[in-house]
Amino acid sequence: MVAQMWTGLAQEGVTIAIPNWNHELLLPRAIDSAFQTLIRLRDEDVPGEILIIDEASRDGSPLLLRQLEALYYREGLRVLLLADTGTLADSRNLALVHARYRYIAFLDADNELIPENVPSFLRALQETEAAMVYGNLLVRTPTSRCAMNLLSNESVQFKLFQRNYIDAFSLVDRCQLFDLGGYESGYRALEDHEMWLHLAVNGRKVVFVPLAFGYYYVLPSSMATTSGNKAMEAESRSQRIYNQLQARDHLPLNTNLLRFHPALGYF
Amino acid sequence: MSTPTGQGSSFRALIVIPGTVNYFYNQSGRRIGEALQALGGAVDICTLAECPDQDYDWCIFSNLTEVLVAAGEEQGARRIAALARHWRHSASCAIDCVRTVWYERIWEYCHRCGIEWILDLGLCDQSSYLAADRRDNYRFVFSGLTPSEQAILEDLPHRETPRAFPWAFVGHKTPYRVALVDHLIQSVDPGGFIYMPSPAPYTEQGSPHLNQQKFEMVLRQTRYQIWCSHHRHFYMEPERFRMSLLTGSVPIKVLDSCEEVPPEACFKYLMMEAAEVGQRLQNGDFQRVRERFWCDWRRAPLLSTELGRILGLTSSGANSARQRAA
Repeated sequence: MVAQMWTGLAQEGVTIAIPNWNHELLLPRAIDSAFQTLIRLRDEDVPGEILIIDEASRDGSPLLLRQLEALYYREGLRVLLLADTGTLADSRNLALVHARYRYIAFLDADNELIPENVPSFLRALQETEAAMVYGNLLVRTPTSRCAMNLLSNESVQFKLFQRNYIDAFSLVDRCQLFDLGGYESGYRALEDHEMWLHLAVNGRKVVFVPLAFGYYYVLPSSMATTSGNKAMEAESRSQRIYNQLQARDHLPLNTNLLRFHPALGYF
Repeated sequence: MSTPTGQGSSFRALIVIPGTVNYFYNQSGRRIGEALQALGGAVDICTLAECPDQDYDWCIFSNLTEVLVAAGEEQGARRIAALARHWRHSASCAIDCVRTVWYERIWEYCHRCGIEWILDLGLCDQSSYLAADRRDNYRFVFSGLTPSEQAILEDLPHRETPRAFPWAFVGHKTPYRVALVDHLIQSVDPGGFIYMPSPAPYTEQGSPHLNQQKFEMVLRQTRYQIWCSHHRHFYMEPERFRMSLLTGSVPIKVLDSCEEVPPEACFKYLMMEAAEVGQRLQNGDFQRVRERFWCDWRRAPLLSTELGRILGLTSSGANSARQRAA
């Protein structure tokens, strides 16, 4: 497994990793945006692939994914079908292991990338040598004609130790996440929040890019809206690990207030 | 900041700035100071705590609410009461829509502290929106350019240079603004600069938000600065228009309805409804619109001229502070 991990670490390029759990009807939209993103990246001589990790879905997802893989394997689409449903952290760690390229864009199966902007996020990640870059996510409902909220819309500040405002839907440097041990698989919710805190307190850069990265859809019965107890449990665990003494405000944080765009540098 | 208060000064003015809280009121105070110096006045600019025990013809707060927030409301009000004997006239500037709570708060503080006038530094006279009992102390001052801003305008390159951002939207997050940004992504260009943090004070140092310098840095790489008010009343945010001017970008104010625009408003061609924005911004006449915008500013009154007219300050005028001190 270690040898497999290292095969892709040094390869410049982007893997778009899509964890899926029973999103058969929404997958085509996410995959289409991922393919459009690959086209944009290839225009700039950046290789890429789409890696879908299905977490033992019971809807028609596995059949759909096998068909899509048969049709589009040469275009860079690969599928991992898991026998058991694990945590999102497990799926993201599998993406870290199985990706072919150094950089990973995590895209949930019900969300959508804005392809035109991904090359700028990649340049920002490369130029800052950050562990992760992220940008504005426009929050929509399935029936809304336009967004009504923004996520991931501010730089890292000390308030991140109180609550999460940065979603997993972002672009990460696989090497650096590996270096710090990947996602904490004990988390059944908010594994992304735990990762940002983990990166921040270990001196890594987590950088905000002032562009739109994608569309985030709020759906009925989605994991984000139904994981109340798990989220509370995860929050208190993160508090214990990262801010038990409420002292973070008084400690240095390398990544505090980092904002970057390739045309501006840090601003 | 202060200027020499020697024999050549025709009047003396004290500008009181918050120092902390929202940086644009500090900047607004400095602009007023520069304009008054251009009129030949001797100007001191300081926070309330730093105000000297000297006599002045005018004391102008930029603005009174922010000064009191920075100084502490009760303590600040006592300090103003103690200093008031040193000035002949007083005013608070405002760069707010008069139909909002922020203007109302300035009015209430002025009333409480005995400040005579509210100087509305704006682009469009708002007196018609005020109730009769609020009009007496309202003075509209066209927020024209200062001498240093005039120099910047004249130095801007006329040829179009590449700009990284087709548009930029900077302002705190509201549902309406997010919907507008989504519309811009879909109808204009997905590559716009978006910075919409949650509401918090905009200080010059240590703020998570863009300060003046950083905002200008962004606008120098932007073709169109687009915004909409965070309230539903018509208002032409003067700082937005002026910052776009001085950075070579074009301001676009998005309105609920163009019927709100009063007939006497300037820059009507830069205000439009959301549905029009896509078509108007994609027709490739950025350079033509920008030239028109620059020409209109060159014809507009200067801030010093406006302040001189409203405050009754001329080079031969108020030197009475020195007379009074003598």
